[in-house]
Amino acid sequence: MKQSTKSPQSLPTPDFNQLNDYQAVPTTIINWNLITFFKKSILLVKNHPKLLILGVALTIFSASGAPSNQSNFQNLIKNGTEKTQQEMDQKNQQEFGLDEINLDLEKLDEGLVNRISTATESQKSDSEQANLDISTITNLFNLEQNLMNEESQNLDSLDSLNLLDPAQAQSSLTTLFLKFTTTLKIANRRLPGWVYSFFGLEILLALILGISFSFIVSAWAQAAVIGGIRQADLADQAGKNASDWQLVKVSQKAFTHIKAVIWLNIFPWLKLAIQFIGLLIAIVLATGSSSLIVNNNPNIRIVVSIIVGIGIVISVIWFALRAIKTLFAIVLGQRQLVFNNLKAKPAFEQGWLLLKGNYWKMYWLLIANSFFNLLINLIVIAPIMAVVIGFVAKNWETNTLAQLGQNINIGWIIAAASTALFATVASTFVKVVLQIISNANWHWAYQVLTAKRNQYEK
Amino acid sequence: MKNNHRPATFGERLLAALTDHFILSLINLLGYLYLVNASDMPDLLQRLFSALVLLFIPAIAFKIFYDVWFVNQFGATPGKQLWGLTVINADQKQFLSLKMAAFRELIAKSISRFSLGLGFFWIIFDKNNQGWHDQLAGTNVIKNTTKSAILGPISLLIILSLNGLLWFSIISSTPNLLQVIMDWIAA
Repeated sequence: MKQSTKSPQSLPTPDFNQLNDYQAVPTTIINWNLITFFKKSILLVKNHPKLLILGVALTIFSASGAPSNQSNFQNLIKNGTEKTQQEMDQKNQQEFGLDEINLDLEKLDEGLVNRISTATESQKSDSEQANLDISTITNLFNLEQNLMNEESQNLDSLDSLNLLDPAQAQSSLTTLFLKFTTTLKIANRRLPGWVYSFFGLEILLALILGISFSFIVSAWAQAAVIGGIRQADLADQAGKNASDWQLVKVSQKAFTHIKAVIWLNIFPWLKLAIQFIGLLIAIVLATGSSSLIVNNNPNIRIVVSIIVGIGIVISVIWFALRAIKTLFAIVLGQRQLVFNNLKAKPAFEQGWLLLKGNYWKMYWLLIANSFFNLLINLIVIAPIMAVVIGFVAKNWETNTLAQLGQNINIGWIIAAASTALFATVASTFVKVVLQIISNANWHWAYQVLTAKRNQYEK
Repeated sequence: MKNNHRPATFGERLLAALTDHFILSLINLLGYLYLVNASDMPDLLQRLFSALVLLFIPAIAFKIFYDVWFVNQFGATPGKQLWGLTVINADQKQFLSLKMAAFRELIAKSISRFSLGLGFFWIIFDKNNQGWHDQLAGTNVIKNTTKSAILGPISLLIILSLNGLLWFSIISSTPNLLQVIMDWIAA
C-alpha cells in the first residue's frame, strides 16, 4: 500500500510497535469430520480472540452490503400503514364530507397563488411606470397575510364542525393534517427552487456513495475474515500464538481483494438470474405455442399441460439446486481468491472444480452450521423465553385483557427487562462468535477438498 | 523512540476527540440557532428544510473530510493537534496515506464504535495503547511531550465556552419557538 511521502520532522522510531513478518507454513490436512471442524473452530476462536474484531467487522458490514429481509418487512409494514391511512382518509371523507372542504381549500389555495401572481405582475408593471400609489403597494404586500388569515378562518370553521363523538379524535387529526399541509405549501412557496435541486443532488450522491461504500466494506470484511482465519490457523500449526500475527497485515491484504470479491459475489448470481429469466420465458413460450398447436384436441391439451407442469417443477428444483451449488462455489472461490490471489472468474471456476463430487458434504456442513447457530441462539434467548412461558402459564386462565394487565407486577417487568437486555447483548456477541466459527468451518472444508484434489492430481 | 514522544493515553485521546466533537458541533448549533428564531410556522418549516439541505447534510460530509484530510495532511485533526497528538503509520512512522486515513477514520473506527465503544476502551488495556481501529489500520497515536501542556486545556475551554454561548442563545430563543408552535396549533 502506498504511503504518504510527507513525514513529520521530529517523529521518533518507536520501539513499542514491532512488526513480525509472518512465515507461512504448509497447512495440515485433516479428514472430513463435522465434529472435528467445530472443535477446531471453537479452539481457533479461543486461541485467537482478535479474530472476533474481524467478526465484528463482518457482522456490521455484511448486514449493510446485503439486501436485508428486515427492510422488506419494514416496507411491508409501512405500505400497510399507508394503505390503512388512505382507507381512513377515504372513510372520513365519505362520512363527514371532508373531501368538499379539502376541495374548497385547494381552490382557495389556487386562488391565493393566482392573486399573489396577479399582484406581483401588477406591482412590476406599476413600478416600471413609477406612478404606483403607496397605499396600493401596502395593500399588495399585505395581500398574502390577508389570504393566510382567510385560510386560517376556513380551518377554524373545520374545528367547529359538528362531528360525531367516536370520530372526534380522527377528525382532529385530519384537521391538523390539513392545517399542516397548508402550512407546508406556504413554506414551500417561500423556498427557492435551487434548494430542491441541491437536495436532490445530495440524495443522489449519498445513494451512490452509500451503495459503493457498503459493497466495498462488505467485500473487505469478507476477505479480512478469510485471511484472518488462515493466519490464525497457520500460527497454530507453526506453534506460535495470537500475538505472532497482526490484524493490520490481514486488513491490508484484504484491500487487494476487494474488487475481485465484489465481482465474485455479484456475477454468479447475475448469471443465475439471467438463466432463470430465460427459463421462465422458455416455459411461457412453450406453454403458449403448445396451446395454439393443440387448440382443438382436449386430450392432447391435458397431456401437454402435464408435461409443461412437470417441466416447471423440474426447472424450479434445478434452479434451487443450482443456487445452492453457486453459493458453495462462491464460498470456496472466495478462499481460492484470497489465498492464491486469483481474480473473480478463475476463483469461481476453481470453486466449481473443488465442489465437483463433494456437493453433499458441503450441503451437510451448511445444515450443521445453521443448526449450530439455531441451537446457540436458542440457548441465548432461553431466559427470556422462560420468563414469557412462566407468565403465560401463571395467567393461563385469565379471560380478559384488563385482568392480564393487572397481573403484570414489578417483578415480572424486572425479569422481562433484565432477560431482554441479556438476550440483546448476548445474541450480539454470539452472532460475532458464530460468524467466525461458520467461516472457520468453511475454511476446514476448503482445506480438505483442496488436499483431496491435490492427492488426486498426484 | 526519541524521548519527546510516547504513546498517547486513553485520557489524552478522549480529550482530543472531545475537542474535535465540540469544534464540529458548532456548525450544528448554528443551525439550531437559525431554527429557533423562526417567526411563524411556515418560516419554521422553511428554515428546517433549508438547514437540513444547506447545513446538516453538508456537515456530515464536512466531518468525513475533516477527519480524513487532516489526518492525511497534518497527521492529526485540529483537536489532536491542540493536544499534541499525531497519528502515524506504525510500520513506516509516517503520516497516513489518504486511503489509509479514510480506512482508519471511516471503516476501522466504525468497528470500534459499533462494538459499544469496546474498540476505543481497548486503548486502556493494550500495551501499545492501540484501539481496535489502530490495530486494523496499523497506526499509533503518539504524544509530543515537548508541546505546551496548557494549549489543549485552554483551547478546549474556549471551544466549550463557544458551545455554551450558542446553547444559551438557543435555550433563550426556545420559548419563542414554542410560542410559534402553540400559536400554530391554536390557530
